[in-house]
Amino acid sequence: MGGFLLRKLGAALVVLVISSMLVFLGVRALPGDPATALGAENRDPAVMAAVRSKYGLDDPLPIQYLHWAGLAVRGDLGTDQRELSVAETIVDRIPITLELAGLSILIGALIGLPAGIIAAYRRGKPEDYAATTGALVGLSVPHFWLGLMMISLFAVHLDWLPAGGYVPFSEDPAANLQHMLMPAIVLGTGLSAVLMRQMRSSMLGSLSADYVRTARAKGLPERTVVLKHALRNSLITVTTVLGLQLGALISGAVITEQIFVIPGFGRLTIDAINQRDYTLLQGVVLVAAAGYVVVNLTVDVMYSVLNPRIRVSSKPA
Amino acid sequence: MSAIDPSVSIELTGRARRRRLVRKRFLRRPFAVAGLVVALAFIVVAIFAPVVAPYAPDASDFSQILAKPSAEHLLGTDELGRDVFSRIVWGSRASIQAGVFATLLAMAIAVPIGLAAGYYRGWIDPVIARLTDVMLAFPFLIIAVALAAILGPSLRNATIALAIGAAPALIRISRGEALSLREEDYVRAAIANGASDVRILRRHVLPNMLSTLIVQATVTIPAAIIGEAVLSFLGLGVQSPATSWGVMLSDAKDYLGEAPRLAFYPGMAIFLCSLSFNLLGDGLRDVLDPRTTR
Repeated sequence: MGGFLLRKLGAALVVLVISSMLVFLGVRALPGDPATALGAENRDPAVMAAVRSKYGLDDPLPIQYLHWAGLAVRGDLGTDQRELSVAETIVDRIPITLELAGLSILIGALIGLPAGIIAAYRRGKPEDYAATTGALVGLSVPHFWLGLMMISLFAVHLDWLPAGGYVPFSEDPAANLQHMLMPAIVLGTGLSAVLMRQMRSSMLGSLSADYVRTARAKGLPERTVVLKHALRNSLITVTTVLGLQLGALISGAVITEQIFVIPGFGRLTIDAINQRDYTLLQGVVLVAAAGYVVVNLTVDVMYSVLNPRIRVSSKPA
Repeated sequence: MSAIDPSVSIELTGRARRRRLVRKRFLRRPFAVAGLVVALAFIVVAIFAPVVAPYAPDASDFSQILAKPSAEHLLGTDELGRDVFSRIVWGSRASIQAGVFATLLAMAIAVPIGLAAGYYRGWIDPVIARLTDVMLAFPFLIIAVALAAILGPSLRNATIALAIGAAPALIRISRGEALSLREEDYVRAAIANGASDVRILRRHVLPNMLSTLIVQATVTIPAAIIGEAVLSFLGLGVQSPATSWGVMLSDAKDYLGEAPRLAFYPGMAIFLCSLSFNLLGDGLRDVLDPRTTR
């Protein structure tokens, strides 16, 4: 178990390092003088010289990278165009996006998981067709269009919900949820479709397994058989799928935050790009990549904890 | 040779028999057939856009701004008096082109890489696996934006960005297929017979991966179409005055109060096109899977 963990950790670190190199090179590959990109929009030679020396732009590339990486590891991601600390801005914004992601997962799971269970249990019957078609529709809908349509209907025409903006939870929980409801539904729909299909296919496998037949033969009530035995095994696969969908969720959050004007991490990305604030962009992309690597690692480890067969079979032959 | 006796049954070759079986199974699935028909309809409309669309996509009629649907303008006009229906028809070109070409490009990149990783294993497998992980670690939007920044926003660059975004998943799938196929008996027999790697890959591995790859392609296309819409919506793909469904949505977002139909129609087009490819893909997956009975 220890060796397995170590190998996964090592792989994750490799990915993280390569990703950081790509981020670093990416900014330097952009057209124009890196000094302009990294801090000074004005051509004042004194400012340019200051930027050059601050970022060590005259040093060879590997030295620059190590310098930047060293700072990043210590939490210093530089300052953006408005002289604000990049790290601080990111730390401020991440909880908002996490709240959005969390609510979306909640909605997605509440709809998708029961739908998948019912569809598997009633395979071939109308409920199955309804659920499966619903999932397909959920997968095909462009979620930002859904967002626009919901704003048009619920905010503009019916005036039930606010069209956008954000209120911190600590300030006013009710308003916070009101603002988050539509975005969370928009993101949760796609997620529920994926979860439903995964749950259904996994449950179909579990329900036809021998241990379920044994449980039924033992005379256990049907509800116990389905919920306690079959479900438990399907939950493992579903949890891992959920973890992997987190990445898609964050990308989806970028557009959703844009449409609903939520000041989250996703919106920060777009703002950084639009404002050509490359220091900010560097920090944002690095954090996003690091976050993804960490989530993947956690999912991998969790999966192997829950399913001992994976631990054993991945030993090198 | 004497005349052919119709009472003698003709023995179909294995491959022809399989094709007929696939066709029969496919036709038994109304949803899949519907998906195929609608998807083909979209493609035909895209190709024959100049013929299908009543107006040019940028033909403005300032006397009819934001007009409601009428006999003259089937779906109404937009804020510049352009016919919405025609713009949707013309816009389908950019959107479907992006979807199909991005998928083809992604497969062209991903399949050889995945094949190499899965078939040869050795040292190349972990390297490719790590590189794929790195590609996946970046939000696909960032890659698209970086390309737009370096090369300039355009349909072509958006297509490339979409292909790069779709490639990692396809690499994983082709790798998985190659991995399991190389353990098959006929592959081992071919190796024992001294067949070259190229021959084995070409004759045994690739043809058997084909059905999985086809299914994956049909499901990647809608994702790429939606991706193009997202990029154009953000101003990173198709640029005005050219049009695509994403551009139309971006223009429409300022008119959600007065004319929500301006956002409804292009989005509906994206949705239906996406749905049809997904239905097709699902149907193909069921049909090509030897375990499903119908």
